[in-house]
Amino acid sequence: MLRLLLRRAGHGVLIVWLVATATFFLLHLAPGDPIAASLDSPLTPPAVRAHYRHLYGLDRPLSAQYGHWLVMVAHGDFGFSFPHRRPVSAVIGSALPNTLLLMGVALVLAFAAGIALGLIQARHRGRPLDWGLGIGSLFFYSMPDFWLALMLLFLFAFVWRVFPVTGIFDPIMYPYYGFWQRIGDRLWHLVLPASTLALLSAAAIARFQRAALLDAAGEDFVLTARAKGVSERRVLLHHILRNALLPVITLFGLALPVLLGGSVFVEKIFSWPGMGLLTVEAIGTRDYPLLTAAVVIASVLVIAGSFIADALYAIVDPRVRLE
Amino acid sequence: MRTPHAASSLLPLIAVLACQRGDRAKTGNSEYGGTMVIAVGIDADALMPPITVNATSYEVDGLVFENLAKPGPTLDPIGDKGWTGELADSWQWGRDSTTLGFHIDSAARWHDGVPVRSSDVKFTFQLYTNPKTGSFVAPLLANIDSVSTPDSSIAVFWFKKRYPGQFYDAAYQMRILPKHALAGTDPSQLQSASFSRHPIGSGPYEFVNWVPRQTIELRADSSYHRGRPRLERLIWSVAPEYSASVVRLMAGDADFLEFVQPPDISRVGKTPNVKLVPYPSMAYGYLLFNERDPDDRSRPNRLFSDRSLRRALTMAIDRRSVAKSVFDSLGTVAYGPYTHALAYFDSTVAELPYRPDSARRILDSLGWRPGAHGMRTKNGVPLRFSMLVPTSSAVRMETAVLLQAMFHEVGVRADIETVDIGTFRQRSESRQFQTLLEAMQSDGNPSSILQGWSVAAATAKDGGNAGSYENQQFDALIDTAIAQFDETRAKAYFYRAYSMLNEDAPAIWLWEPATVAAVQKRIHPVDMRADEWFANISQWYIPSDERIARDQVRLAEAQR
Repeated sequence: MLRLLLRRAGHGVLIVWLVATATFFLLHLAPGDPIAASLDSPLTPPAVRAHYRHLYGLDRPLSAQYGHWLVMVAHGDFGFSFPHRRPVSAVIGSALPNTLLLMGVALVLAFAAGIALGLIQARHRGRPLDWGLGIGSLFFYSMPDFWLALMLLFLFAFVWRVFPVTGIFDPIMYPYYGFWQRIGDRLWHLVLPASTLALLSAAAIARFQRAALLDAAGEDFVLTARAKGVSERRVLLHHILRNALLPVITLFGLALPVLLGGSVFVEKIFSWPGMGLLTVEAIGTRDYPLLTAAVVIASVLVIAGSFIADALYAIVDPRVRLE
Repeated sequence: MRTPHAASSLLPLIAVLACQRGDRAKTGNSEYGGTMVIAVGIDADALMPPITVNATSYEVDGLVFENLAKPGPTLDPIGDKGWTGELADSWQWGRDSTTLGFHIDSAARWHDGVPVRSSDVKFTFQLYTNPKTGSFVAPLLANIDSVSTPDSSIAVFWFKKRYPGQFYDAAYQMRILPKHALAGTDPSQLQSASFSRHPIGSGPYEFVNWVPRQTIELRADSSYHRGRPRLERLIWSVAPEYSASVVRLMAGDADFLEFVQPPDISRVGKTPNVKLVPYPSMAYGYLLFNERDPDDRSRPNRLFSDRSLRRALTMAIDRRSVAKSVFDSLGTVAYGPYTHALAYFDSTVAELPYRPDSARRILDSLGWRPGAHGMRTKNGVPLRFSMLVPTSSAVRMETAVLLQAMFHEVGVRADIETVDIGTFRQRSESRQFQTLLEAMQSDGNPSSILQGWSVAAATAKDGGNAGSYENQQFDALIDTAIAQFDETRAKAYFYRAYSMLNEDAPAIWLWEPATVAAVQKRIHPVDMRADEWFANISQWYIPSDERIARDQVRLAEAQR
């Protein structure tokens, strides 16, 4: 097991280095730089931009910049974000908790709802309920995320004014709230963005789960269990569902990077200051240090997600051995 | 080094200033309190006036920090006519007019309670002009030699020469910073200094809190030396998606939106609790010709070094139609590199008319003859060029399409090349373009025109004249104009300079948009200026009978 972990870790480090290096060079080879993108006013004298390029070493040869960046990353320092005028670690440190909260809640809701819907559909296969839920999940599955977000925003925040329009807290009252009021305010602001993401993902999970359940329901061991007189509820939950969870576990492993990567459109529409929006803004402002840090983090998570999915497979399916 | 004579010439100035004390107008209205939420699309980058060009930072800085004085509504840059004191309560010119002394209001305090001193002014000037700071304002202070402090309340500016914009440069280019809080900071590290995120100013509002990418909160300084502002709290609330900001305003979650895009004006204007407030703009747009070869700046551009060709292309464009199409009734045609809001705006300057037939005749005479599909060629080379446009600007993208069609009408092929704003700025800076669609925010000081259009700015390695327009006569006229102390004479020289610029057609001046803000009706009186929409915000208020729940926050403290 230890050898396996070390081998996977070694592969992981190599992949992260390759991805980060490719990102570094591709970003630097693209036209523009963070100084031109941030100091984009035509009134800014070119000499001022030259001053900052020199200050941040952007006028040095690319190989020298790469060497400096490698040394810094090896010391755990991702550098300074010029557009944000803060260290990259501080910028990511303020965005990451917001994304974790939003995506964590959305994923839990999505998987819980998706699995439950799949179960209901499988149990009522071919009946109106299955048919209705199938159409509903297909409707949300095929819907663009930004459109759903805008519709929820329009209906629940503007027409009915049930939920706040944007942000992660009430900008006016939040500083004067007590602890529990703050928790409530945060949750209140979480409802629309988390629901948007959960609705979209739950639809996909439900369709996967239904198909997997129906596949498993036709297996011989299900027939055997029923022949032995096992209750239908026990057959469904202990025999069919356990086997039908395997593809969903794969989905869960793939979802882990999303957990920290965030959702660009939903974050933008609800002004949720998370990693997705941060990364897209960094592309626009050519924020090299921030982008490479985001790519490194995303790579680590993809590798970790893949490993966790493998481990969960081994736990759920006795036929699979990690070794 | 100063001569004893120069030093002695200060003595009467100091004596006069020492006797003067400001009689500040305190507001007698008791309508204090209330909260205004300002919806913005971008977060501030750093709250450090010398180095920030970010719009939100500029707005917040403008309320936390102070200038020595502010111009009147006409933004007249000559002398000190119409100016009102801000951090300074009086000023006095030296006998030879190369010195200008400001008396600092003795009641002025930094928000941490420390009195504002003349040493803060001297420190600010040194910080702005320190090459390690990298301030974009430094070139505008080039005519100020130094600042001296004969006593703790008097700061004397020493100028290298006498010129009409002396007062503007000394009083308005710099926001005064606290020496005691910044003296130990490395000027090259200002952007990462903790002060940049927790500023201490002397302005009407003091900094409270900044949640990155979410909110910036200011509260009224109850002991502000020019009288307490009437709105108690100001909150900048960041929403990157513009449509979300509009919904927030219409839903009542936000009180103020600085810029409503033309397609939304009708919808926003129909919202019961919202009023639209048009205000003059400092922005204008133009298509800039590159008169040098983009691949080799030492060579002239094969197309645009020809003045007649530039004139023909300008005459092919119906600028009024472009302005109308893009902005409807909210746009007017631009007359040059300045706007209606400026003191030296002149709509009578000579401008090239829209005459497509004349444009065709000129092109014919230059040897550009219509060929296949009506497109012009000369010696087998098509009359074709690219227009560089940033994707971030929908207005410029729309403008480019209109220009392309109008050029096509006279047999010229203009290709639209869209790039992101970072690439756009870098290519503008390195002059790697044929033409580019630029939008500029004009500066109140007319001498700043030299930064973009002078020979020096064209030839310097880091000059700001991206199109490399060079005309020594134009430079001389502007130099003469900005040296005039008489307004009528100055205007006459500006008229000649602007007319010459238009005759040379280094760019096609396209449009000048009027800006429209949207504000909740409970906020009064909302008078906005072109250079700083928030210039008069200290006098805005919310009547007690129109207040809503969020206006009650901190009201008890405000009424104390």
